[in-house]
Amino acid sequence: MSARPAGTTATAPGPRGSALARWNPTVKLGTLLLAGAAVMLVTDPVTPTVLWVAAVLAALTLGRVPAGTVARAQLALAAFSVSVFSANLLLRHDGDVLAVVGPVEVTSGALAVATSFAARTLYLGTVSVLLLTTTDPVRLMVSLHQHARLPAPTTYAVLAAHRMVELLPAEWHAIRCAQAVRDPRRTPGSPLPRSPRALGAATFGLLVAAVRRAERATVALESRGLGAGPRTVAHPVPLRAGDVVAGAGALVLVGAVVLAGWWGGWLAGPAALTPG
Amino acid sequence: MTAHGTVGTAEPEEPATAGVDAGHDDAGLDVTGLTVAYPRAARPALDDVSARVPPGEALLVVGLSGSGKSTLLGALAGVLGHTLDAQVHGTALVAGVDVTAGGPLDAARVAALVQQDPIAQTCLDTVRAEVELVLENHAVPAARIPAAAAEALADAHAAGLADRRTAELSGGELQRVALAAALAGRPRVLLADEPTAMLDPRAAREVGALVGHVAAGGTTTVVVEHRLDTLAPLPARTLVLSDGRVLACGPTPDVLAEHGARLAAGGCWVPTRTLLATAGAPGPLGTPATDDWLRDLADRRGTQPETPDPYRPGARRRRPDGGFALHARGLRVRRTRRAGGPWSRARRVDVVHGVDLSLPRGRVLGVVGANGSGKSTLLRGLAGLEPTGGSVRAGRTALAVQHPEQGFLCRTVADELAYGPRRAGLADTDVEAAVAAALRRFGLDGLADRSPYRLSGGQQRRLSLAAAVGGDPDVVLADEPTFGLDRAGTLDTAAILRAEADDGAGVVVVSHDLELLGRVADHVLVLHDGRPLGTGPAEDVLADGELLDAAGLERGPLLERWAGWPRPRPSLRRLLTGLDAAVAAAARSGLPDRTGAPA
Repeated sequence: MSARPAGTTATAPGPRGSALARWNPTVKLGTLLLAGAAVMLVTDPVTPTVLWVAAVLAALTLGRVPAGTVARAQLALAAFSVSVFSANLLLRHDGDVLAVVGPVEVTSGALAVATSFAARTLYLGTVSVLLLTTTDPVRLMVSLHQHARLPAPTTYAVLAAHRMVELLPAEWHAIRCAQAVRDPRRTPGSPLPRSPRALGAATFGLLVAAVRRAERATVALESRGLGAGPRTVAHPVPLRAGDVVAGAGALVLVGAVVLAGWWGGWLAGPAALTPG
Repeated sequence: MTAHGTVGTAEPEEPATAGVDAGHDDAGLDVTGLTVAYPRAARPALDDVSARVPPGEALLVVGLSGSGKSTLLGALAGVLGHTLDAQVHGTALVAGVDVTAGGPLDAARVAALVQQDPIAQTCLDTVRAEVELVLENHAVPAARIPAAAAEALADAHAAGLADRRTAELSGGELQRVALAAALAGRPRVLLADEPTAMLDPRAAREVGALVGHVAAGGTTTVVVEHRLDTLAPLPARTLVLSDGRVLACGPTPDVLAEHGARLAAGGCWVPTRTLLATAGAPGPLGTPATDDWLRDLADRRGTQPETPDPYRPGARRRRPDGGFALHARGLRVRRTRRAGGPWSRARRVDVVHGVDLSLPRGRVLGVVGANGSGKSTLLRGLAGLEPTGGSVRAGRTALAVQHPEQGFLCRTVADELAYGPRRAGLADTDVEAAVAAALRRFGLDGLADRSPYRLSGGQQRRLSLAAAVGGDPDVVLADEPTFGLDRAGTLDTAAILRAEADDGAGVVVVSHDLELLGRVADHVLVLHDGRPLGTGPAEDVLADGELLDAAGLERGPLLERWAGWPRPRPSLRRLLTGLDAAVAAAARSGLPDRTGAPA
């Protein structure tokens, strides 16, 4: 029995024992939201790329996220990023024509904006992965309750839902199996059916299962007195000056990257989206 | 209330008021004229129920499936009419708190609830957080919380689980954690709704003993339970519900003596002792007279062949050429697992290894093992739903899954039953005939237009089994087909599975209920950690205490007694079916009932 926060071990290996895990989760969430918002109006390729690289480095060092996990996350994000890149490259027309691919002219302005949006996707995705892998959900919710004044029933409902979401993939698989085996024409060993009808039926089954589970979880939470009145917090999450300083520091770094672009002349804003 | 005790009661009739705060601070239970109706239901689930439980006493609630047992607990926990939609009339005072008016949050100040489903009632990531949540909600000072949580976990024999993640725990472990969470708030009243229903026999006995211990202590307790041999000791008082009404309420020995026969004959689970008394046994289990009586019972059924010969001509409608329905060699079943969240690498793991099976037509194979031993995965592998290694040869295979709702595909019961025959290409008239026959055979008449999701648990299970066997498959796989059923439903299911085998199908039944397997299984396969630990003729396996023990399984009192007899033992199946027949005969010939209570 120690007073350390639930789910976090100071000496734990991996992301949950890292410096980023010890950071006050509310401050971390706020900082990362602001750091992500900072690039929303940026359209040049350099600024989001620099921030993306910084986020990857932070995940690997401060966050102690295993390289394999970072790499797999980048691969998953890359798929999305490539589609963002292609769409913007093909649909925009601005600046010099660099190449002609069939009926489509690839222009310099389009290339810049497309690269910028692709890098932004990678950056925001990496920041999200950083947040998810280094944050203990219970600690985050306790901290939001303490420091952001979020009501306890809301925070614990979110936690119960989080647990339920973790169970859904297994439930989904069980439902698809149970429904597939009902078909007398099915060949054993064939993949589970993926027709819209089959997936629709499975989705409905999952919905029913989720509603049933939610009902039981609500009964469990309420019968344990959640929301009944004043409550205590077993493991308060500390909010220290250092947490805020770290947040401010991170935001200063992001600001510096943006300012450097302005200083160096490569920063571009939303004006680049409207040709002319 | 039954006032005339015929059997000596452990507790005085009304220990009540002595030594307990009087008036509204009373820690007992006082239910008056409680009526609960669910929306769109034809009749109320509870109809004018009144009962009193003196402080510190324990009440057992029994009755058939659908008699309103869980509804009563839901009303006592304050959730009905508040969290869940229902019309509630009358009052329920729980430790002086009017919970019908106040709802779950008022009830939570004095009462705690343990639900049936171990997974669905677990709310948080870690065991410690799960228990501490209750203490935080009761505003226990932070400094005292760790010690109080440790104490509650120790009380529930779960001290060793404190640092575990809830996602890694077995059903039995989760129920102990749920009990710890319930006890952590030091409730004056503990409500337990079939806490052992989803557990394997050993976990059920452990949790049943824990709940029995709490009930025997100073906490007023209300327990709904089917498996009365696992709840030890039995609560001092018993309430019998029938169709939402109180049939009897009083000291447990009196109620069981006076109504046990009616309950057993009506299809309710009763303690083995009561079942034997109903069937006419001369004394309790273990006495020489009863041993002789049981042997005689098994011999009396000796006119029937013990197991139908699978090769008997004319026994099968399906595939008259006989042979094997299912044949597996070195079967491995794989599952995809992600150990560290959605970004971690997906790994295919062998969950079941090295299973050899040869199931002739007309035979029933029972599969047993503790929770998590791979039984359900094995069935999915045999049905060709998971990637497998080794070889499987099977005819047309049907599977009745453990949670019937997962397999439903249609809007009405009739469409559900028509789905298979339609997909198989039957003509409309044949489909209609098949649906009508299934509705009759499985007792679903009158429910044809009902949504499958709105059926009771027992009805859903019957529908699921009806849909599985509807197309006359060569292999019937049934995963815990009697989960949550009362005794009548269990015996009906056993009869249907046996009939499917007699009709030429090969049947595989996964079950925790070793007595069920004693009734229907010819062979039994014991699984442990995904590997076969033993296999053989059903009676050899069920008599092998060491094998069952190694697999983490336990026999009930009747099987234990039978296994303790010297060889040659009478046939277990004939003994069990003989006992069932004796109970049914007692029901027909008028019950040994001295009260004349209304049926």
